[in-house]
Amino acid sequence: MDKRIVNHPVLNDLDEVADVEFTFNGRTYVARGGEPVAVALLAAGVSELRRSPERDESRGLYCGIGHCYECRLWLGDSPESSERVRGCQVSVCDGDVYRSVREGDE
Amino acid sequence: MSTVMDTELVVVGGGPAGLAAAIRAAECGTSVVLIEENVSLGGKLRGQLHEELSGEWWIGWDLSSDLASKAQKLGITILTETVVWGVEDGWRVRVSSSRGGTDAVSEITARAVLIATGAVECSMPAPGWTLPGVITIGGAQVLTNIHRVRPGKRTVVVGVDPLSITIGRSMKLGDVEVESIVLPPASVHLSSPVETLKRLAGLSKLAPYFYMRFGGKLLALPGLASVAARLLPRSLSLWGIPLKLSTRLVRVVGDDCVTGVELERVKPNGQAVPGSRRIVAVDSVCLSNGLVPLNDLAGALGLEFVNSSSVGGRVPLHSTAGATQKPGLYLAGNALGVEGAKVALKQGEIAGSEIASYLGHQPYQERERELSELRRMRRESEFTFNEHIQAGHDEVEALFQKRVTSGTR
Repeated sequence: MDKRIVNHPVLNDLDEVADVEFTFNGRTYVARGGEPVAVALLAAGVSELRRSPERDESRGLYCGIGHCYECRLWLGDSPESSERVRGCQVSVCDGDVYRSVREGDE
Repeated sequence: MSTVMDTELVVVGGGPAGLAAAIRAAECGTSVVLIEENVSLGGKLRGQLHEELSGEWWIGWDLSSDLASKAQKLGITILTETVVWGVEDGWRVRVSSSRGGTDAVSEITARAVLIATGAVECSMPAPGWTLPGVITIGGAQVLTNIHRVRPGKRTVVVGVDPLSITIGRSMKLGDVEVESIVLPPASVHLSSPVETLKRLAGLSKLAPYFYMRFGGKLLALPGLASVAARLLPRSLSLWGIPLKLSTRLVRVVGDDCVTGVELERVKPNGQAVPGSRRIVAVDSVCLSNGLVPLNDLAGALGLEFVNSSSVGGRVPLHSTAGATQKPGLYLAGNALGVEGAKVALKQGEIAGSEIASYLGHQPYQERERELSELRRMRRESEFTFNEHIQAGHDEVEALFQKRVTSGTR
């Protein structure tokens, strides 16, 4: 967790928040409750969120405020219930299932 | 499944302008629904962190939290992680959840709507810019100061402006090694050392930082920018961050993520110094290329737009207090022009009073006083992104009044 800024010379130290668990592409990760999934993944050292469909290039978080859609993911535990979401806009709930590609679309 | 909600005022956007407007309108007796697509309220204000001229720290996190709890106490209905995807005349606001799904509120009817959607960053395409690890400077601010996650261990900031310098410092405070702040690639218009110094000179009379203030005095004299560009040292130190005004980005290097940047030195006119290209190892790159007002929602409503480089982009015609050509539709904040948060807060307060008056709650008696206060705040703002911002606002206002008088409102 060395990417977290826990102590800060001006801002308050990072407050205690209960962790939640989620999966991304089948692997389990931990997020600080309430933080966006793209942020939790970055803190866990995962910067690639998906591959571009045509050139198969790596893509990750870019603007951080929901404008660019570069961080788009699928949220849902079945293909039918999956929704396209922006990784920088969705706060992780315990048990969330995220994927780069919707199951069955590969 | 769809759920309809009804209120007097819907505010779209929970940044400084939207929050201030919602609070002011509610204080005047208006029932308000405030919609924000992010997880928390505050918009870009929440990530702001800089030292003011007085030496005090401007801590956007605390200011945002104070405003959010004030909004809550006033009984404002706050919908976060909620996206407004349409506004229709009459007024009907269509929303959906950031998580997808339709089990929450889907439609809100209202007597007035305030659009406070802020601004969006301009991209800076350069070879390699789509690699993970390349983010906008605003994204770097959000990660570092709001989510408290470092964008990387070692970063380079590309683009020299008040935002990039301020956020470069924020990253340094968050213990990110800022390798340097350099100029944009040659593809970015007017990005040579001379043009950059000219622009900084126009913006720096009240800039909070020593170099910019010192530079401003020096560079305000006509013709001096080109002389200064020739005399520039290769690297100036800003709180230990190397500011390199004669080095620019060539490309971002990496296969599946950023591993470095290729930089080159440039002459004052922007011509490359032959043989000066070199690769520097970094794991992240922060691109800063300015902001433009974001007006997608207003654009779909058939308002007349005006393109003003002085305010930083295309904006709908509006009065200084935020009224548009459509009764009941208002605008505030960076959607009207790119400015600092203090100005946006004041614009929000003014629009809030204007709307409460339109809805018949309370006449806006302090209008003239607050409008002149807005002008003063703009003049004294530490953050100016466009040198002629006030003139730009005045032109838009004059055009709006002309339309009102000719009856085409």
